[in-house]
Amino acid sequence: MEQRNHRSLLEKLSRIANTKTGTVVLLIGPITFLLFLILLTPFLIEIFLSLSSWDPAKGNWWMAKFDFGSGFLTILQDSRFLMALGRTAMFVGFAVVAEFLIGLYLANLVSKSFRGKKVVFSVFLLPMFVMPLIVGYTFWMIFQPSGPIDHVLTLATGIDFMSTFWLSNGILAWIALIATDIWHWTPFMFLILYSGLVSLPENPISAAKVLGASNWQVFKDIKMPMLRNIIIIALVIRAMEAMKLFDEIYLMTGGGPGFDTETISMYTFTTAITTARIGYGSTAAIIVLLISLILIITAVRPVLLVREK
Amino acid sequence: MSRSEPEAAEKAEVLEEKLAKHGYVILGLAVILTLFPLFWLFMTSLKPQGEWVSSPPTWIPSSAEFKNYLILFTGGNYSPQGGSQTSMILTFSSVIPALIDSAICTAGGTILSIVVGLLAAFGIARHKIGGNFLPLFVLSARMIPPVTALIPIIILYSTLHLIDTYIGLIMAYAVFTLPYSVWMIRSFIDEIPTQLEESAMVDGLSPLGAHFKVTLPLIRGGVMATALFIAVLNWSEFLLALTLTHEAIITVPVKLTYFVASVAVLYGPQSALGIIAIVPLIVFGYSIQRYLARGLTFGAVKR
Repeated sequence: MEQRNHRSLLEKLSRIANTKTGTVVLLIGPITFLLFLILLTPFLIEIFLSLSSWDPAKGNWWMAKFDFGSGFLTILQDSRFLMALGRTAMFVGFAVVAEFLIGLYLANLVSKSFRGKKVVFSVFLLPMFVMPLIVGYTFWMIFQPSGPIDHVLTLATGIDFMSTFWLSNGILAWIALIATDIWHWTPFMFLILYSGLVSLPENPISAAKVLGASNWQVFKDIKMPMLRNIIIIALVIRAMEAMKLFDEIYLMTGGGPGFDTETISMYTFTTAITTARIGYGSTAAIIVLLISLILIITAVRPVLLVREK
Repeated sequence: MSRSEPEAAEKAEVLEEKLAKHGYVILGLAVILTLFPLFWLFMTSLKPQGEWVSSPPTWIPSSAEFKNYLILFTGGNYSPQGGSQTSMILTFSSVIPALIDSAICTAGGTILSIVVGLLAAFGIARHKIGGNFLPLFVLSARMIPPVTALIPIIILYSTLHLIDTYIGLIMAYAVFTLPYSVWMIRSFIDEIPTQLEESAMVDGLSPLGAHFKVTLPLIRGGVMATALFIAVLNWSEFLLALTLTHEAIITVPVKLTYFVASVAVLYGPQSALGIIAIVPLIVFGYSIQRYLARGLTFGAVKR
């Protein structure tokens, strides 16, 4: 008796699920719930906080006074914030361009025929699998005074580099951070560009070779234009990821010396979490968000473009 | 579906240029530079305490110190070098709870992300629900820097009492990996012709039945790869774990920072923890090698 009830309930449920509305609700309901709860609601709260002056010591956040975004005026004159923005842009520029060029060069080399290709290919992917925090820790060790980098430099040049404090000097710390990022993410560029290179149609390439084009001409005039979309995708995705840089900096320099290696992620984190200036941190976060949204809109178009093909 | 990268390249061998002599040198150098940091991490994980910090640095430890690995599981004390300042003994607690917490949050976040993402991917790919807006909105969860969402999530979570709970971290992990599950699975679904589902529906299956009984078995490999891909991301996650959990839950990456920030760095055990933490990532990573390009580009690059 009970079993029959059970079955009829299931049947009823499956009948509901198979109506048109039921199908839509079942497929899209869960994702809507999650995105609404963990993405949309928080951002509405954040917009409210950025426009108000909330002090956690004085009551709940929803009772905060509205101050019409005076925080925005203050933060746009805050040199520490602006410097963090500039440093982030600089970091993204240097690291992503370097990763692209090295990745493209290596992808081109590996696309040629040689023995041990599979091994080399696999080795090149390895850094991508290591978690960012451990990459940070490993390079933190490597860049310690009298660490392996100092040792190699000393042995190679004969000059004593043994007490180079890489991570306590603004410029050297940036070199270390960019080197870390290049190690970690050149494999991404390599993989994407390699995938593009080996899936190019053969006809135009062989035709050009028959006509006597040099390898360089084939690369520059045929392969590169055909890779255009893939290159844009790789650059855009990598730039968005580089913009978020946090784990490595948190571990290697903590934003120091002073604020010399403070990026926007680090700045927002320190302001909001470490020093608990929630309203100000929210304002910073909203500005960063707006900048990333502009980037997303530019980013999404090439991704869609390729999908449609 | 797609072949592994080197295989496909060999097919075109006739057309390919041979690698020049200096090409070998450059590739050799690149391989060394790629392996060196991991070599250093591994060597440090085997160094006895006296060789953690030395000038010049120790490249190959004089003897393999497995205590570094053992102490991770048993916990124990380390006195700083010299051993005379007994007041400075560092207590090292076992990392087993952290490994368990990481495993729970990784598995939970991955399963939630895949289940929700799979349903949504069918809705987007087969029913065009939400048009262009929904997939782009999902994608934005990955594109925005997570630090910008941190403050309101913390506030929301403390209002809902989700701080320091498994379910809270698992939901956050799921949301931030949804872009991958939705877009990757969608790209797999798009490769299966709709005619298969249509003829199954003529035979009496409902649309949902056709999705799950016809298409899902065909994309099983791709869904598994997506799951491993997301597991790698969740296992590596640091910022959310650092801020949304404090005492009840400590994941491996957060645990790792505890030792670096303390008075003296416990290079050996810490590096051992690093090695243990990246082994599953490397295994997962290589097992989904042929899906990597697709995953990293949200399905835009197919092979």
